Amino acid sequence: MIVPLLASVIVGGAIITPVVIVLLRSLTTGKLGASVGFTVANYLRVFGDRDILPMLNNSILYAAGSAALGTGLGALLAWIVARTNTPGKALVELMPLYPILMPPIMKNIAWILLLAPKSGILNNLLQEYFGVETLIFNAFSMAGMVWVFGLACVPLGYLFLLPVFLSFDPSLEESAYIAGSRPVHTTLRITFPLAVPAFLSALVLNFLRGLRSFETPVLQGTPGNINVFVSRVYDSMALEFNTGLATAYSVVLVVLSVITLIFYVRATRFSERYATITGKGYRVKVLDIGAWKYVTFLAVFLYFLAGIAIPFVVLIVVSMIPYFDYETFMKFPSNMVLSNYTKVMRHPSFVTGLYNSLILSIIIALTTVLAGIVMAFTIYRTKTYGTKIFEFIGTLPLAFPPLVLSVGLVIVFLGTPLYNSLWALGLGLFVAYFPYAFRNASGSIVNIHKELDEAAWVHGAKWRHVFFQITLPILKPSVGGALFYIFIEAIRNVDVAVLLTSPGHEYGPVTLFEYFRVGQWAEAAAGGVIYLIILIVAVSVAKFAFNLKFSL
Amino acid sequence: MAILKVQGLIKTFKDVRALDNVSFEFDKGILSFLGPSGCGKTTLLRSIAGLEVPDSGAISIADKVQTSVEDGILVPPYAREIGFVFQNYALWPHMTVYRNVAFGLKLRKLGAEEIKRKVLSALELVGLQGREERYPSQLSGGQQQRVALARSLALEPRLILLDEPLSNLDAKLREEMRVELRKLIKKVGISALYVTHDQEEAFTISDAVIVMEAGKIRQYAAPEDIYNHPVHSFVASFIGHSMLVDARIVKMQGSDCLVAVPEFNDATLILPAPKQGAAGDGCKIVIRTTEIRLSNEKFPEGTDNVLEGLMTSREHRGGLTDHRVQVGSKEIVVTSHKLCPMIRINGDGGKTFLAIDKSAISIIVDQ
Amino acid sequence: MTKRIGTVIGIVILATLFLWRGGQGAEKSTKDAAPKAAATNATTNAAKAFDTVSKELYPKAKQEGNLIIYSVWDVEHLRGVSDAFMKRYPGIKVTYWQGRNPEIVTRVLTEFQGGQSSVDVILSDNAPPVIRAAGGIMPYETVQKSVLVLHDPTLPTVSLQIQALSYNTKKIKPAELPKSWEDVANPKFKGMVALDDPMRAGPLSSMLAGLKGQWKNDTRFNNFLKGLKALNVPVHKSTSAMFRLVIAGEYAICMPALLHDVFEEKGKGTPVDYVQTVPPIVFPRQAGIYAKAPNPNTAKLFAEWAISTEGQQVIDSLGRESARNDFKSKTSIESAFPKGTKPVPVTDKLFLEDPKKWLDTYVKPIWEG
Repeated sequence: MIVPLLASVIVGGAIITPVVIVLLRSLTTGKLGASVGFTVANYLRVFGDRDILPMLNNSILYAAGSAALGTGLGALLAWIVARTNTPGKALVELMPLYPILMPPIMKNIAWILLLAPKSGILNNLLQEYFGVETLIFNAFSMAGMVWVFGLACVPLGYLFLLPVFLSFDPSLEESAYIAGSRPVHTTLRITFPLAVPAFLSALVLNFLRGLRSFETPVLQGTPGNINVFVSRVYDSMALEFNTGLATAYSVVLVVLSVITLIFYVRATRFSERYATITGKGYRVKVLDIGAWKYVTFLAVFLYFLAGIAIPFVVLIVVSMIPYFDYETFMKFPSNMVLSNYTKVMRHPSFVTGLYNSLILSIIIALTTVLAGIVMAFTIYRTKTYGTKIFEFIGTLPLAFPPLVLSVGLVIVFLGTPLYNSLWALGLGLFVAYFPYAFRNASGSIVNIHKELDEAAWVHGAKWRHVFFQITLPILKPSVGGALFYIFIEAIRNVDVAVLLTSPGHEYGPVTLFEYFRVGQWAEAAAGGVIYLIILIVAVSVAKFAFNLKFSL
Repeated sequence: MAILKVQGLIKTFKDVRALDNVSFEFDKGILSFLGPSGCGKTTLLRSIAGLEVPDSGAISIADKVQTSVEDGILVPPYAREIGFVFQNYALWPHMTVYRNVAFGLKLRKLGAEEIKRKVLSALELVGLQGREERYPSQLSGGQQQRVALARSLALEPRLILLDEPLSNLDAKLREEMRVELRKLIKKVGISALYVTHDQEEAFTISDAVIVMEAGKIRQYAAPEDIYNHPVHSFVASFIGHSMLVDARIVKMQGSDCLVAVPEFNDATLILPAPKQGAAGDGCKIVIRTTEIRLSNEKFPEGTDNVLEGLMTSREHRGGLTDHRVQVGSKEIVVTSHKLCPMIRINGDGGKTFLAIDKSAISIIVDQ
Repeated sequence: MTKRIGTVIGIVILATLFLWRGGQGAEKSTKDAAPKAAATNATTNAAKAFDTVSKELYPKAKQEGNLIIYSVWDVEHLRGVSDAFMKRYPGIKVTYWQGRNPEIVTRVLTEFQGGQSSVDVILSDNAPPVIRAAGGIMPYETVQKSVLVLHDPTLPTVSLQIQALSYNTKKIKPAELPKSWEDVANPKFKGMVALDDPMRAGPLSSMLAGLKGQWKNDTRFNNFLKGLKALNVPVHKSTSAMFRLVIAGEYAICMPALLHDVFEEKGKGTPVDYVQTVPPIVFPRQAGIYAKAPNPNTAKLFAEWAISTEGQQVIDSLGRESARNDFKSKTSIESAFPKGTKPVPVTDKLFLEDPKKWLDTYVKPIWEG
């Protein structure tokens, strides 16, 4: 019992240190990040800021809407793939995975180009072919924002829920059938309720991401006059370069996050009530849903279209036309150019940056997932008192906008030989992605019936036997999903560790998406397309050649 | 009207025949499916419940066809009106005891008052009154099992299926529960199908037993019949406290027959004659070792089936003693209680005489 | 394996390109004929001064051997500049780190407070004056100041941000165009303008600082702001995204756009142009030297080289605007605007060093009402 507890304390310490540093700075820093001794000036600013209430409102609406849409859809897809006899099994298992590969910024570009009110593809198509004059779609609206970010939330819902449905003890449903409950009723009253912890875990994660999400609100919210709270944080950095103030604003988000987490911990406190993975070995039961199976296939396919196919096509076209407006878009491929691709391929750091980020992402995925399971194990499986606090510590980094967190990380490393090395970057990424791994493990471990461990304890097993021979193997399906997701996230995400990349050490995503930052969307699209093709090939190879399963 | 009719059930998993042309009828009462793991008893039970679909065959419950592969009839499990108690109880962990038991009743669209009445009476029947608001995780194994039972009984089915319901309980509780279960089922007045691998349990609880091996029915009879007259060598070996020995019929003698047993140094034994058999036939004899008399001294002249052997050891385990006696090339283990009058042994070893009544031996002629 | 796949795909694409010789969108070729500097006294003097300081600094820089740059410029541009510098001055290794302005400021100031000697040159627009205000800059005056459009005695200006009033040629006719920056605030352009957020210290804020400095008339300035507000358009936080939307046709006028962006798109045939009669706003892009620079001589050498004709040629070839008044290139004020155009410089010290305070004082009351 000592070892997992110790490990959790160390990991928890590593995670909470930058957080504490950043919080301390909010009480000691003034303009330009200069130390000014203890002061609450920053917090007074925050509490005196009357504009933040409507902004907070927007943030919560946006985050909750996207989380609900995405997690709900993801859970439904997981159920369809895992438990129904939807035709085209191989395809249906694969389709929900590909949208995960879509880099977030690419999603923004594609959907803005599709949904912009006056210049967007969809509205213009409607006008051209159906004579519809009213501008139905508007990317620059709350609905537009929730749509785009909601789509981005689906993968977490899917990857968290899939293993739960796949390892469901069928006798729990069979006993319901015997009692006279038809399949639909059983699914609603037995299957779904027992998947609640995993669902809530994913929902919470998505909600927190939404709270601190920056790109989508900036690109789609501001032009629609919708301002979210997190922009206050960035403004304090961009205008006043005051990390103390930025942190003080972030504290509001932290409070919101803590409240959310409290709710989650309370809702799932009786973990025994969700023990669905029991002692018997069994085969998962597939439900025959009759004619509905065509509807479900269509649903999966539609998600595939919306999640990756359509944006991908838009990106490909955009990357190959001289500039974007509706007419030029429709003229494709007669006006095709490849200059953007040559430019991207000639980019000095494209290939080396890609290589670095691949290696680093694999390492980060492995370490965070392992550490996440250890911490979840410590909370739910060792009988130590007070380990519930790790639920908060483990998820806390997510509450901080990445830039703010990075400052804390920088300070931790400053003055040590680790600064400006790939180690600092690696550790920074670890802290940033740990919450994902941890939330995943926490939601899944709850489903494992205690008797499975207890059987081992009784036979003389020490914690490490239980951990490596029982918990880990049973968690394999969800571990696969978590590894996959974190790897994909790390390999294309920038904002977290921007301050930790060092001169001379290129990190793939940074080099590629600066195109986007400077407004060269066509080049960004070209780079994104190349990136996507590589990832799609890698995933397909992994699935078919090595039969790597991200689910079953 | 037979409560259960099964015809020609076949079910194959990969290359294994889990059910190999199983057919039988059962009128009413408690019927056990007994056999080692992998014999098909659980598959049979689940097929009757509608949780498995056989490759061919038919099943009728209370004269209503539930499964008929050839006619394309497959009544789904939620329409079969039976009860089912799972081995691991399958109580829904997120619901209280009350909600677990009320679940099926709610689906019947009964009024709240009536539901409450039925739930409470079912719980009272199994002796769990007062525990309605507990969660399964707060109950002991035995209590959980009773909730599972109550859950099925509350729906008042005509037939209840139980899949090794006692295998998760400790030995003492198991023994108590078998008797209680039978009393309860009889009290409620329904029929039951009971799957177990424990022979004693099957015999205690059932009116009839089906012994299965490798997907086939080896014997279908009342418990005493199976015990006294096993008709198949597998059944004989499976029923405890019997030993199976090769032999050869020497002579038929009216209602008895004489057999020579090579492994007992060619001793000749007399036992009730088989229905069909002739001198010279190979056979197996089944000796119920609990009915063997042991003595350090010779038995009186004219005692049937006297054998001489060497006792190799005597093991005391609790209230029972195992006497291991080497006769010829076979070791016979005779288990007895402390004060058993059939055992007159002093010391742990030495020359020992065995006497076996002819009624303690059955014969299975080789086919 | 993915690296190989990536390379294979890259080769396939390049091969296709060679075979197909795609149409429009020609790359900026470094083989363009180098524009010749106009021969004036100031030019020759500056050239001589550069020669002297270069010979003086190079041996010392060689001993230092390293140069670390933090910059907001694209990595390709940084690479181009570093490669050219290293070629011109062998024996010096250049490494760079790219980030946005808040990131650069945060990083430099954090390192400064931690006493770290982590960077030599900060190459950016908004960052150097802010860092200077915090004491993080080693003041250095270039010897070539006579040829600079915008000169600061402590921060060498190596390039300019030039803003132009840009528009979508398909969405608005030349006769309807605004005639000046002020004209944009006309109600007839309601709903047609993509407006940068004046409160975020971006290009529009700089324009406001520049125009206020030029007009020296508070009423005029306030009316301009009110007029902009009355356009009733949402504001954008990204000039580049804004420009994309103008190209797409979502808006007709881009307020403002960056000149080199306009030229780059025009070169591809994109239907954008800019109003030549509206004088450009110019904002300095500086190569500030870090107060605790570990390689100060190299840093100074770099700054001087960047301002020299050869350095400016490199910068121009990357598509960035020259900082010199004697350098002829497509994006220089001479060639892009009619003769005699007086650019509007942004030199307000308070704005440069404390943009928030400036905006809170002069813009916020009107803009946020």
